[in-house]
Amino acid sequence: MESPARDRAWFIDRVRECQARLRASIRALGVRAEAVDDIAQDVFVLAWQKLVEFDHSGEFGAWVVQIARRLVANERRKEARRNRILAGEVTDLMLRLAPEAEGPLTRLERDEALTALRTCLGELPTHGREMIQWRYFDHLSPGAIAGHLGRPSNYVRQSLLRLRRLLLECVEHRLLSDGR
Amino acid sequence: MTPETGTPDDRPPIEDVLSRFLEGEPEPGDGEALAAAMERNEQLAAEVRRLLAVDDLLRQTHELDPSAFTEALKTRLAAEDDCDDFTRAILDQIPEAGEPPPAAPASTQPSVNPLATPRSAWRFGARLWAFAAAAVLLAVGALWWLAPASTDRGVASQVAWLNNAQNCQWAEGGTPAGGIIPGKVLQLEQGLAELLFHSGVSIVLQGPATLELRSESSVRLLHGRLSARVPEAARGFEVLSPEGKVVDLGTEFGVSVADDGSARVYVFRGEVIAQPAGKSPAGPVSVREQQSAQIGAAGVSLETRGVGAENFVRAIVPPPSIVPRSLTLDFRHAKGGTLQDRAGLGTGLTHRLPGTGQALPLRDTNLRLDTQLGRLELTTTENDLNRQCKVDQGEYVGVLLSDLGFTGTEDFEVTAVFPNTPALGEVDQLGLYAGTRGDKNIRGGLLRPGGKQGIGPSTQFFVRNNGGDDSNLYMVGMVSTGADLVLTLKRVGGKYSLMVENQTTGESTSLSIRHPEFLDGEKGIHVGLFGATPWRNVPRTISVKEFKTTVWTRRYPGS
Repeated sequence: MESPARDRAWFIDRVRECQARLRASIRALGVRAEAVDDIAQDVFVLAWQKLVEFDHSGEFGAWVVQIARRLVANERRKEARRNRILAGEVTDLMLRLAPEAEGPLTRLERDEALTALRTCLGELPTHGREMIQWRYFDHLSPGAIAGHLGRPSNYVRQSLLRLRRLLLECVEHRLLSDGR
Repeated sequence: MTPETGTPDDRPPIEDVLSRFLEGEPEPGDGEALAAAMERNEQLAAEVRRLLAVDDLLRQTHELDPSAFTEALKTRLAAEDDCDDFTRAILDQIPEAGEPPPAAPASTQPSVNPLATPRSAWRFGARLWAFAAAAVLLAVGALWWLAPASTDRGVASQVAWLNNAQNCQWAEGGTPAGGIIPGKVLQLEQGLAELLFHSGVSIVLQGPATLELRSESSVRLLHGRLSARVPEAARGFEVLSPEGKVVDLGTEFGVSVADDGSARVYVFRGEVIAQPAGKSPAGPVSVREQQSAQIGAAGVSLETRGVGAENFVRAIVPPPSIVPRSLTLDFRHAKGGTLQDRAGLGTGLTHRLPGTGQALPLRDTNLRLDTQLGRLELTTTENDLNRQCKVDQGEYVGVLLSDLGFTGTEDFEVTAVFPNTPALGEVDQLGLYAGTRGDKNIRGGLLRPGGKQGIGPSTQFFVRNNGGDDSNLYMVGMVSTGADLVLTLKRVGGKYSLMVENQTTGESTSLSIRHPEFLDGEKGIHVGLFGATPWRNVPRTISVKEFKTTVWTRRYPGS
């Protein structure tokens, strides 16, 4: 890395590659969905400031995940007015577990991970795809979806849980058969 | 892939806890219960992490702008370059939007590096610009403030974006175009617009409404109606109105502002504080779930039995898709189980207009299906719906619209091709009908007007019949014998019309009559074709080449 400009371009390339993994890893620590991107931005800014400390023989993605874990631990300790952690007990436990356990999906580069997920989304039954669309694209709460379907909220939450499990199974199965 | 099956009975309670947790809606005790279960069960712990990870990847998959995250980061890093330690020190003294006054700092956590304390990356840019504004103000004086707001502040200065819209019409200058930056005033003349804030707050604005976007945590509703969903992380979000304000305590609520400036708030979930404007001596009032309150010049009055919930749109639900369902008959094949012709061949038509044709035999001697030519021949009988004359032998054959998904409100259309129309005698008629009974219908087509002796040219007609007598008869034009006609009777937007296309002359005519309100909402509407020779038994044979009925059904997402 000869110059700061070049340095910056290299850094942004790494951000593009590993942002999906970082953001998913932050969420996997029990951070509220709406706070994930804020924390991810903080992580990358911190990583940029501390770039001299990065061992270039190591993996950038794993390094920023470590920074994220420290930031989330800090978040957990402080009494923030806007609490970005869903449940302290869960996040404490997550922080004690090894960072590698989010599954093979988060080890991919962003494009690969999202492509794999899109493929599996395409295999869901229509009603399942619609529900995912409402939840993630239309940002409807389970309560709003339930109101629309005339079903209880718990039905929607359970359906979404089943759909995520199906997607996980599908993606991980694909990655295993691809030898990843 | 097919979804797993499972009943609520065989689902362990931890599944409920987990599903609430994943949706960001944990109940008190859920965190402890989930943590304890994960502690006991390593596999569950791993699964929860993978499910959370896949949840965020799904969110990323559905992002409208896949490069937004990287672009925001680039903006922020560029700001970092411009900021020396002094700048950052100043920045940290500028409160974030929605933060309490300095006397109640958001965090007292000491931090060596100000950036090591997580804070909103998106808000950071706004603060930077506030600092820049202050710096320029010092240099060039207050004139800077008179300059129009810069539009090149980048992603970070936007407080919200338009996330969804339905039938929106914006006033000139009040559109979301150019970015929703602090101070932007949106003027929605009609429709629904959903705004999403970086903090996760979602607002559905119902036109007509005027909304000023003050910051990420504050809006001013000048008039109109909105509903707001505020996640826990964005507690403190406020909606200002001329007579006071509503401060959220992590909830979902609706606010409407009337022309006199008074506001009404309704709480769907959680709790809000309704606070009268400074001039009122009254204090803030807590409004809880399913309660409503009026905020006016006299202060806040609580209505313990909440009113007005139904006036708020809480989410933009995709409109139904319109799916046409059609029945087309070319009369080239006999269809079993349908009205039979004289030889017992099924014509494809399934129903008679109720109250007509009861005296006709099962094998209808007036009908002849010619499958080689692809024609249905109908021989008229002496009858008239006007005054209900001998209608039990009347030929009014067609279909029941509910067989095509009609429920009473959908639009529909029936078309038939009548080649080589015969010469008609006085008050002879043929055409199409729509109705529920022989004495509750509309019909139109060709008619030889009364008073014209003998056979000869016909007139196009369209008429209502409600109670047995024809009324509001509309007649226009003249049609020569032998013309090939395409008749189309349709209901569009609830309004009926009859189109007569003369394929021989190339002319077409659209006929309308006074709206038959007696058919509005009727579920049992039949449509079909008919031929009649009232007052005399002089049968005439009418040939029909094609018959098509379409109902534009509505399909709701998820149904």
